[in-house]
Amino acid sequence: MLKLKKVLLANLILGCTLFSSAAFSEIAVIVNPANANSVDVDEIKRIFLGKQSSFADGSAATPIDQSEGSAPVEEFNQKVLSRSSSQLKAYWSKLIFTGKGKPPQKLGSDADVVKAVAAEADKIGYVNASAVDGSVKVLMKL
Amino acid sequence: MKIFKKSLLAPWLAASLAIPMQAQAAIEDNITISGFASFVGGRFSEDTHQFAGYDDEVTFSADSIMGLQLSAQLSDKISVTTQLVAKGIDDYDVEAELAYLTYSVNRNWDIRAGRIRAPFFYYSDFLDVGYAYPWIRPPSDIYRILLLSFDGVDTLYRMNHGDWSSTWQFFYGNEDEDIESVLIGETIPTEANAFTGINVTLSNDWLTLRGGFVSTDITQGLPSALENFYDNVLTPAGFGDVVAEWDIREEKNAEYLAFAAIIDYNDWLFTAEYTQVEWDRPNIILNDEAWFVMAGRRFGDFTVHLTYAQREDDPEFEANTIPEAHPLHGVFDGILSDAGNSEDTTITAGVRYDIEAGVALKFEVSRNERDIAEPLFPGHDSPLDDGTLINFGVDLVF
Repeated sequence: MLKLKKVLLANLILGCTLFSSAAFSEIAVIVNPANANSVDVDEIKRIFLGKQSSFADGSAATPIDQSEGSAPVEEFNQKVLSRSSSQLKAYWSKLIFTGKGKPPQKLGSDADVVKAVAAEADKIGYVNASAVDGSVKVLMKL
Repeated sequence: MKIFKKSLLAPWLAASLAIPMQAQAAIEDNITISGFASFVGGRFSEDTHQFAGYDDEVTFSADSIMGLQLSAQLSDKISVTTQLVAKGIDDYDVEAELAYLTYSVNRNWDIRAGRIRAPFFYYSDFLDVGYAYPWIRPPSDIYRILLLSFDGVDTLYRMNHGDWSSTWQFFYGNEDEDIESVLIGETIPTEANAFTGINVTLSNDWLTLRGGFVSTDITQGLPSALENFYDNVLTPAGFGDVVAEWDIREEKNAEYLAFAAIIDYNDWLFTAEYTQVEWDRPNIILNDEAWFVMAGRRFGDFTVHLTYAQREDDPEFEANTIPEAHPLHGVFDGILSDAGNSEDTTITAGVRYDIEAGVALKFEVSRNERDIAEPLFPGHDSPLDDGTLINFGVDLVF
């Protein structure tokens, strides 16, 4: 009984920690304001894995990734791509070395991603929610 | 006056510094360098023969490899790619495994021309990139074809179907290669003409299905013992028609068929592949079918996996048309039985540890058993001993 309570307590603490850390580093998936498409998580995933190259209206979709080590990368990889950085590396190496695919362009900071997405209609990126300004449109927050 | 001078100076400075910097950035933006490497050691328990390139001495050359890939984007539509590979088994002599030009018709359709990897089966075109799969090497009983690339053209077409996406590859070309056969210790000149094929890969988030077909006309040199038997024994004895039927020095058509399913679901891994090689005239070697199943599980940075692989020859004794009463009938049956009548099974258990993104350590143990597929004489055992291969290595991509 005591054991059960301990487990419950541990879960409660863990749950709170997870929740608060998630809330703390919320990330936003952003597109150009000219982009009127609605995009769901599965589509974002396919676009960032190179499996889909268009938005719903048929226009080009070009993903912009962030450099390894940038704050939102790990979180985006887990929450959207559901893959560890090792798994992604293995996934892309298969495509790169057969010439069957190219990983998305990687930029070094939230500010660079916001700038790139604001500049071109086909771009889609992700940043810390706090880095979003009026130059881009937020598709969803995660 | 001072201000005027400064303003004159500024554009000049900008011109002399910024333009070369921009040019440099442009070059860096348009050239991609990536690479892979594997350093693998291993030892096979038996000294009677090699398995997957290993004998009973510890060796580091069989699977060790380093590759560098350079890709230059020349315009929106055109890029060139080359992959330089140095293999331990070739004394680290550098060879261009890939060298092609890509013309992107649109963002879903590429046409390539040059030297392209021969995509017989699922892992064929990234066999060299150990980091991309859980094992040290994909099952060698299945990945038994020594022809690695062809010179020609291919086209890659990608499509979307809701949650699914597909890639269609068509190719045509030819290849001349001196194949070094580890098994017989000889170099066999090989010519593959009208190398033609199609493969389709269909995948959603956790399931990949692939079907592939290759047809090619092969002309090949013979191992010296067989050449001697054909030219100096069978033909003089009046069985030139039998030689003509079997001889691969005269062009034969080979067809390669493959189906694969790859699952990666909730850290459970499952892969199965079936492959088959068929010839238009009787053939001694590689007239076979081979398949494997692999099950694995990811535990954080560790992946454990277990694989069962089998290859079975389809010896065509019925195509030995030498009259049974003639002593050479039995001799030829004996050759068919020794060279093209085995059933190999290999069970491999292994672990992969991803130390960090781009670096993986691997350890695995394979147990290989060889039996005669259809014993010519009841109780006739394989001339080769069963054995155990132990491998350890590190795979990198960068």
